[in-house]
Amino acid sequence: MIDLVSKNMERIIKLFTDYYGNYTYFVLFLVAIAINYAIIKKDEKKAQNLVVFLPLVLMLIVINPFVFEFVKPFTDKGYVYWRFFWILPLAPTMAYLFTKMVNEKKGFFSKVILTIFIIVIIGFSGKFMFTENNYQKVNNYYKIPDDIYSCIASISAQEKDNKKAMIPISVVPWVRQYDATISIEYNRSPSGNYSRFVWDYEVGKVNEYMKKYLDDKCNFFVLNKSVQYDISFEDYNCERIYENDSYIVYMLKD
Amino acid sequence: MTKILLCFLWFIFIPILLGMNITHFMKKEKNNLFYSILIGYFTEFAIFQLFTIPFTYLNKSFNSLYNVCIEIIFLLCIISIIINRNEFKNVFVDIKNNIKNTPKLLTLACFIIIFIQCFVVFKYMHIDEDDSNFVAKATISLQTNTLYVYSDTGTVNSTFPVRYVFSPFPVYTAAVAKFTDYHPTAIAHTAFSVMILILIYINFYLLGMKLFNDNKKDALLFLFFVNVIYIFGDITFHSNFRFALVRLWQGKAVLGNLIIPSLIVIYDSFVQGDTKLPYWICLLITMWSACLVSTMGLALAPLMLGGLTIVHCFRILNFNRKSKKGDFTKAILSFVNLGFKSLICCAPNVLYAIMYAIKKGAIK
Repeated sequence: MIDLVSKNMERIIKLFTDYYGNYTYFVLFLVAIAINYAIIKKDEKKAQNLVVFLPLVLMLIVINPFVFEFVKPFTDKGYVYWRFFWILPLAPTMAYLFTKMVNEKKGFFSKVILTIFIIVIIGFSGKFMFTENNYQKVNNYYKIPDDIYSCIASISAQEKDNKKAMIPISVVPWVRQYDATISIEYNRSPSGNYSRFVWDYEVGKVNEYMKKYLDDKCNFFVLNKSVQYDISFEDYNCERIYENDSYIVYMLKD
Repeated sequence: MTKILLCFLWFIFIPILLGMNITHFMKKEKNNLFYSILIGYFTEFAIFQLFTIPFTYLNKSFNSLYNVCIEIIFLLCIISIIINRNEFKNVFVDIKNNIKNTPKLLTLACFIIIFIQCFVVFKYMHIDEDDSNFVAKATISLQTNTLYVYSDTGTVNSTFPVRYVFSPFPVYTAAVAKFTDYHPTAIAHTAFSVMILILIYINFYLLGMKLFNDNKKDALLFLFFVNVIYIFGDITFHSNFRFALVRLWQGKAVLGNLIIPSLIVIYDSFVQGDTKLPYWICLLITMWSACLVSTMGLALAPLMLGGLTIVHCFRILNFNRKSKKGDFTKAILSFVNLGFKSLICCAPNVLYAIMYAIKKGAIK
């Protein structure tokens, strides 16, 4: 029993660390609960319930080795248990405190200065969301990377029955988002655990598998332009139907 | 132009009408458009959740599911128009008064900060490869007119995709795409990321109003700080703030940022409304809608509801501890009433969880 509790707690703490990173947001949350408790007047029961007791009860629920044990079979052996931390009301608890703090100040300018100070504190505790790592510019309203979008659109535009494509890993997530009539030779693996033929395709080793692709009824091939392939697709009755800076698309002739 | 009008119809008017079906019978929330739109969305979610699972089991087409759900939604809208026919005028008067009495500077600050976020998520692309599953399933449903028949590669599924069938948010995405005549990928990546973000902040505004006893100024300041917390919330890859701002079209992001926090608002109304039927229905619908967006909703929504019930029940008992004997008996009764009604609201989640566990082989 003790073993189970300590083992599960270790897992929870590890997941908790993965979830909260350097813990600054979480520390702010704990501080907010403590200060909220101190400043909320006894007659403000609703606020006390929602920004003091509720976060505490929810913490007891999610940071709990028994709950972890119970839901383990349904959370990929506990791997996605971090989603349980979503029920902790971080934003409202912290925002309540900040609002109260600003309200305590008298005079417009002192309120503005305190608000700016709080924004700076939040900014230093967290990380700005709108960066180039998170958002890229795109020129199609499907929000698919432009070079990949044009490749898929070129396959889509072909009048052919039973379209099936062999594609690089970088293209896999997008094809069937745009056109579900195009089948693909293999599926995306979130863990990167692909078959050997997929990795070989990435480095241009196609010769060994070309028979497999044709037997599997692949009739489109998307090639990465930066890769040197060990065959010429024209030799296999394919014609180049599209090309951009990153990819070339071949179609098997009827 | 027609498409844009259809978008307005689906994303704004229909949810408001659906929500007004219930808020019509509420005291405080009557004519509250924010509350109505929130409940309206949850009603849509619940309707799709209710029908998608049996339709998938019966191997029905996507179109037949769409037709049934749309007919029900339209029927509910017509009922709403009939029962609220005298209310619409009041709604407009309320909006006018609200605009008049709203603190201008704080409203402007909140509007700007929300607008910037909406602009970024509307204009820019975030690459998330999980979309090959969540968004592609919507495209597959719509373009092949099937429900979970085909796998992500295009072959026919050899096994029943239990996990995805029990939280068919992509089917909802496909239905919105069909209604508005936009591509499901565009709906998910563009329309959902904006509309659901707005709903998230509407919910936080309602929460602010509850926390600060309907003081708009405080509620807006609260909303402003929530926005700042979200904007700087890229603390790790898994944070709910990140999910909200980079991949809100995925059901799990909707669960963590919209449905779970809205349970606080809806539960509070439920308690304030003496757990009367319309409030109870609201809570039940919200719990039901949690199942649509993610299988995690089967567990997280009941946990949240459990937390809220524990807090409120103890508050009732503690408040009445030193009261007279009669009051204490009354407190015990309201404790039992609250606990029982909350438990009933978990029924959809528990039932789906049991079915899910049986299908997964966890229960034999």
